[in-house]
Amino acid sequence: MRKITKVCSYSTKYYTWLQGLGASDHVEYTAAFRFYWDVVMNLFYCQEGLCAYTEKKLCPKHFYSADKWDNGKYQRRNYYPKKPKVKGELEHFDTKLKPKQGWLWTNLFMVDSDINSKGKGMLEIDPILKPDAPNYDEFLLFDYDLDKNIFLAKSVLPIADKNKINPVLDNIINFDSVIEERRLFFAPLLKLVEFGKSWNNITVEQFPTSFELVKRQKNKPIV
Amino acid sequence: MKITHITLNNFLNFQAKLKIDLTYPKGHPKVGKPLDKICFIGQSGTGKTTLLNLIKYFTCEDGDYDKQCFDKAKIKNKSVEILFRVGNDTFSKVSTDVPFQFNGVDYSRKPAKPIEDLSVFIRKELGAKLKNRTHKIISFPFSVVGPQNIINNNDEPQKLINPIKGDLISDSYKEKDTWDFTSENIKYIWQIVFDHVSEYISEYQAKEIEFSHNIIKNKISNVDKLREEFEKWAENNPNPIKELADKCLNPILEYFSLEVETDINNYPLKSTTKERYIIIKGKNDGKPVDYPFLSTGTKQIMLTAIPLFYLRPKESIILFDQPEASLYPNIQWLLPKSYLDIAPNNNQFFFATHSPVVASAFDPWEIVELKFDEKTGKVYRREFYDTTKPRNEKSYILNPKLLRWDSNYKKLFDLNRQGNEERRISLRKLAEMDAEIKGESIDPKKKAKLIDEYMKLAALLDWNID
Repeated sequence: MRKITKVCSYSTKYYTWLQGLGASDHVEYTAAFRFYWDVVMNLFYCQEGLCAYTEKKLCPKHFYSADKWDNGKYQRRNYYPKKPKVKGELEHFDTKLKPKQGWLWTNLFMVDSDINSKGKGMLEIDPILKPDAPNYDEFLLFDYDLDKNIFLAKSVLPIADKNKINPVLDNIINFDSVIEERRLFFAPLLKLVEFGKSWNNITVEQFPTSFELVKRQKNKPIV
Repeated sequence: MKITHITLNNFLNFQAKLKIDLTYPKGHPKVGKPLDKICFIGQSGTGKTTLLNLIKYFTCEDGDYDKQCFDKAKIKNKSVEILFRVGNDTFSKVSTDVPFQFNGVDYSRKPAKPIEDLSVFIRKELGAKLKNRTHKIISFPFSVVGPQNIINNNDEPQKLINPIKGDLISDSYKEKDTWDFTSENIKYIWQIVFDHVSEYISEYQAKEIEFSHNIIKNKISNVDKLREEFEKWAENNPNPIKELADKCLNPILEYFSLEVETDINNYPLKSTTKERYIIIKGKNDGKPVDYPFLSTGTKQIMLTAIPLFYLRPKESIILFDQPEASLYPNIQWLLPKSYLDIAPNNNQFFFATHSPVVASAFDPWEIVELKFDEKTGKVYRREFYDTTKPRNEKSYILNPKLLRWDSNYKKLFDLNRQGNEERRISLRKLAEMDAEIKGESIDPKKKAKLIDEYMKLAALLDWNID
C-alpha cells in the first residue's frame, strides 16, 4: 500500500467543476457521470495503473498516457468507443462521504474490484492508512514476510496503531487471492536471483512495496 | 431438542460400542452442550448418510418421512442409543427388538429411569419444554434438483402442489413436524411462498390503482397526502420479496452474479403470475433470467434456501446430505454459514459432505470423520484430539479451519498425493534443470535458454515446487 501523490493534472475540467461546487452536494454517484472516466484515468495515472491497496496491476499504461486527454477532458469516446477494458473500480476511502460528496477527488482511489467487494466490504480504514495523506509512509508502517507472502504491521509500532492496521491487512492487503498473486510474483524473481541475477537489476510492474521490502531484506549485509 | 450422543453397538458395519460425542469440549464456552452444527465426513460406504437417516428415524419415529431410505429391520435391540437434551435435562431413545420402536431412558433423574411409553412421555412430559420448537426436523437429500423439483416458468401454482399434501392449507404447514424433502415435493413450499408473494403483489397493485383513482377524484392538491398514505401502507406491509432477497437469497446469489428483483413494479400483473413468481435477474445487466436457464447450482440454492427460510425452523434438527452437489468450490465454503444465517433460531444442523471446502467451515470438534479400520473393516470415528489426554478444546491437534484447502484434502480426506504422475515427473525434470543451470561450466546461451524453460515449467507447476 504505497504512498500515492494525487494530483489531478490531466482531468482539469472535472477538477474545475469540483472546485466550483464548494460545499454543495455532488451529483449522484454513478458510472454514467460525465466525468467518470476523467476521474478513473487520472487516478490510474497517479497510481501508475496499480490498485491503491494491493498494488496489483489493474490498468496498462497506454490507457492513461498524456495523449488520451484533450483540453482537460479524457477522450474516452475517441479512443475507446466501448468501455476501456481495465480492471478495478472507484473506491470511496471514507464511505460516509459517498452519498453527498461522491466525486471528491481526495476521497477516491482505484482499487481491485474483487478485493473491494469481497475483502473490504464496509470496512472503515483508519486515516493513518490513507495512501495520499501528507505524512503517510508505507515503510514506517509495514514489514513483509516473504515465507508467507504477507504484510504485517511494523513490530515497533504502538499496539493502538497495529490495531488500526491489522483489519486492513486481514481483509484487504493479505486477502487470500492477493497472497497467492504475490507468491507467484516472487517465486520467479527468487529463482532468478538464485540463478545469479542481482536484486538491484530487477524492475517490477506491480507489488512495489513488498518488492522493495524484500530487496532491502536480501541486500542487508549479513553480520 | 438437540442430540448430544449417538451410541452404536454392533449396528451395521460400525465398530462395536461406537460412541459419537456431539457436545462442545472442555474449555469451550458451551462445554457439555450439544453442538449447533456437525459435519460428517468419510469415505464412501462409511455410513455418513446412514447416520443422517438414523437421526431422521430417531426424530420422526413412524412419522412422515421417506421410509425407503432406511432398513428398520437392521436396528436390533439396544444397537442404537441416541441421547438428546431438552433444556438442561438429558434423555435417550434406545432401540428395541420391535422395528420402529424405541424405549426411553430419563437421565435427568438419578438414578436414570427407564421410560415405559416413550411417545406418551415425549408428548406429555416433554411437551411443555418442546413447545417453542416449530418443526422436529427438516431434511434435504443429496441433490434436490431432480426432475420432480424442476421449476419451470409455466408451472401453474395449483400443479405445484403435491397431491398427497394437497390437504394442507393456509398456515397449517407451520405446525407440520417433519419435512423430509426426500419424499416431499419442495415445490409444495414454493407454492406457499408464491401464494404469499402473489397475494402481496395483488394487494400492492390494488393499492396503487386505488391511489391513482384517488388522485383523479381528489385533484392534484391532495397528491402529497395520498402519497404519504400509500407510503404508510407500504411501511406497514413490508414487501416479502425484499425480505426473501435480503435475508435469504441475495447474499448467496451474489456469487452467481444474480439477485432477486425486489421492485414490485417489475412483477407482472396477477393475471399472468404463472409466468414468473420470484424474478431472478443478472446483477450487472438487471435482465431477468428465466428459471429453465438458471444453473443447476442456482436452482440447488433456491430449492434449499427458500424452504429453510420460509419454514422458519426453531430448535429443529436440520439435515443436509452433500449440500455441495452442483456447486462450484467458491460457493461451497459459504454453505454452512449461509444456511445457519438463514435459519438462526437455535437449530442443530447436520451436514454430510465429500467436500474439504465445506469441511473447512467447521471446528474440529464439530467434525465426525468415519474411517474403515484396516484390519477389521469396521467403521470407527477418527478423533482430532490427543486421545491420551482428556478431551479439551486445547487438546485438538488438527483444525480444518486453519488448514489450506489442499491440506484439508490430505489431512482430512486421506488424499496422500500432491497430484498426478505427470506432476511428479515434471518436478524431477525441474530439479534436473535447476542443477544444470547452476553448473559451473554451462554455456551462457544455454543457461539463458534453460532458465526460460525452467520458468515456463515452474509456472505450469504453479510454482509449488519445493
